[in-house]
Amino acid sequence: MHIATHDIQLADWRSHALKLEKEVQKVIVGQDKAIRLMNIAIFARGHVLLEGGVGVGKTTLLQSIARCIGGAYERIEGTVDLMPNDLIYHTYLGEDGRPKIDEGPLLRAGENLSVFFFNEINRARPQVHALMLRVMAERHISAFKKEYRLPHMVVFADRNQVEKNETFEIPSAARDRFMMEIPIDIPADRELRKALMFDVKFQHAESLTKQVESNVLQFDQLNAFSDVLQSHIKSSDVLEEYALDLWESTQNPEKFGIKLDSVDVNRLIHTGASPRGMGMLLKAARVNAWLMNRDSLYPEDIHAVFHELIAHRLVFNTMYENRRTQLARELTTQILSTVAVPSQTKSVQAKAA
Amino acid sequence: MMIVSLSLFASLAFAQTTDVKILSTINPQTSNNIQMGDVLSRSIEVEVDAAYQLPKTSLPMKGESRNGIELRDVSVRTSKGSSTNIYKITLSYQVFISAAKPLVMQLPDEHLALIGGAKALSIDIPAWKFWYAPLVAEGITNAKDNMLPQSKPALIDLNMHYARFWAALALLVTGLLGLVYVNADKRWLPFMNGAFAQAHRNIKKLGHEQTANKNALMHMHQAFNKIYGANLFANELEHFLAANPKFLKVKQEITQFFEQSNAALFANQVASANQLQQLKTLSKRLRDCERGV
Repeated sequence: MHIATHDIQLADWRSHALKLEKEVQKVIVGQDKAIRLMNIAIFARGHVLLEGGVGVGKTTLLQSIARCIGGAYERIEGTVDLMPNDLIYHTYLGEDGRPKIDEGPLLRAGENLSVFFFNEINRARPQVHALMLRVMAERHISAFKKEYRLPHMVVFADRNQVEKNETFEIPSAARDRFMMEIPIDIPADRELRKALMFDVKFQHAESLTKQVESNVLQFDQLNAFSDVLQSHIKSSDVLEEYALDLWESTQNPEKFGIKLDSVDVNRLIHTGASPRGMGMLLKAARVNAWLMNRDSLYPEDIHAVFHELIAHRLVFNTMYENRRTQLARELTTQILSTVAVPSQTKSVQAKAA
Repeated sequence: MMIVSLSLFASLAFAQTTDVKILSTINPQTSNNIQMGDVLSRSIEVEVDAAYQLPKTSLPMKGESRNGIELRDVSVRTSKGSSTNIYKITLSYQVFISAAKPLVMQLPDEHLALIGGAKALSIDIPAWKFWYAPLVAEGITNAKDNMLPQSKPALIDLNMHYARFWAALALLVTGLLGLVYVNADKRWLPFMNGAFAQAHRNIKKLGHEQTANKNALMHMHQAFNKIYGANLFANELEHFLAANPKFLKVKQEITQFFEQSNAALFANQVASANQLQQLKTLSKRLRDCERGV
């Protein structure tokens, strides 16, 4: 009976999750992969770092997703003079001319906050990062002599990697708090580009977002369902061995015979993926398996999220850091191409045993 | 030696009553150089009044021998006219005489009595003379001296047969080599060290231990990875087949393999009892594709 209820619940939520994708795809074209990854992050309850140029539709994408999730959507712009307090409160002069204080964007919606968008997070100072990262990890904050709980909040932050002036690089420890870094690229398809240029509906972001059906998901039930989902998807010994090999390959790629053009792999990696990162990888992979209507993890589920989960967690030696985007992409691709499953070594060991 | 050619002469060589009208007589064409064993035939066609018939009892008996001439065969063909009967009588004789010198012999005269009419009539076939020639002069004791060499038989042209023989042999050898190429399973055969050839050999070596199925799957995946040049997963099969079209004919089996492999390795499903055998068969089929068989 309990299992049957779970199955119904899983199928029901899955249909809603797929509907969310379809709704967002109605207004955001050429970003199907990014939409799927963000959907995965929502159900894995992970925060997302978006990487992309200006005017590629990140805000519209986030607003559409926030509308589908339901709950409140807040946004703040990262600037050099932004201070942590600006997230918590803001002061102004009231109608009576007296100074007043009000809750900032982080607290304004209270527990109803479902999506918090931090635009250009790398323009904000490290102090702001520190506060934001703490809230992301703990999902509560003390202010005005009371504790604000933000249990349903998912943070989507954006950083522009091209522009470096007046920016503060997000340290690796901070990057590790984000479940994924998702690239939002301009669509390569000429027809889509043409539509974006000439179809007038794409010129009114606000009215575009309103075409998306609201409250497709129940944002305040996502945490509970995520736990059900995570416990439902199983992984085999072979897959666990494979995941371990993948983790090891991010730390010692040379051990697996991974090679990159024009790079000495032995000197490339300073620090590989963290345990938290690998935990998040499996969490996201389980969501992908569920979206694919399976109850077991397949390597393809890990592959579907591997680059977006791992690339921003890798710490390269200084000499390679300025080529991080390109090298991270090459390395994750090579890891997936090279690390075998089922592992030959493990099978031989099993045979010997 | 048979003499079959006959001459026709229409003149009547012997007298006959008017009720028996001789239409034609055919005697042997040659009347000399007749030797022992030769067969001589003659025929006579007569027209008689319808009242008369030629009974079988009037015919000479087959096998009757007279003066070295044996009647070998007698045949009578009868046809009816408006008021007459026409008989064509053919007599075949064989010469059975041994003589050291040439001599004159004859086919005997015959008198075939007719019945039915008021008169006593007969068909009279006169004797026919010929020269008998002995096989050898002065008897058989000198036969050896008289023998002539046989004409040399014409040689059969063997070139065509040789060509056919070598073609057949080449075909046979090619066929045998083809059979060996297709069916043998030896490392030294051409293209026998491909990824799936190795996988097939490894899978064949597996026993019935608990891990045999998983090891077989591993060997198969290794072969796929080796050919693809990277790890191959189910969602990349189209790319794999596009890059290696020689495996297209087993596309369905490959797809099924990946489904079964995923189920066995990642979904902890219990493998079927004959999975190892299926993998042996599939690895052999893939090896054949790899070798272009």
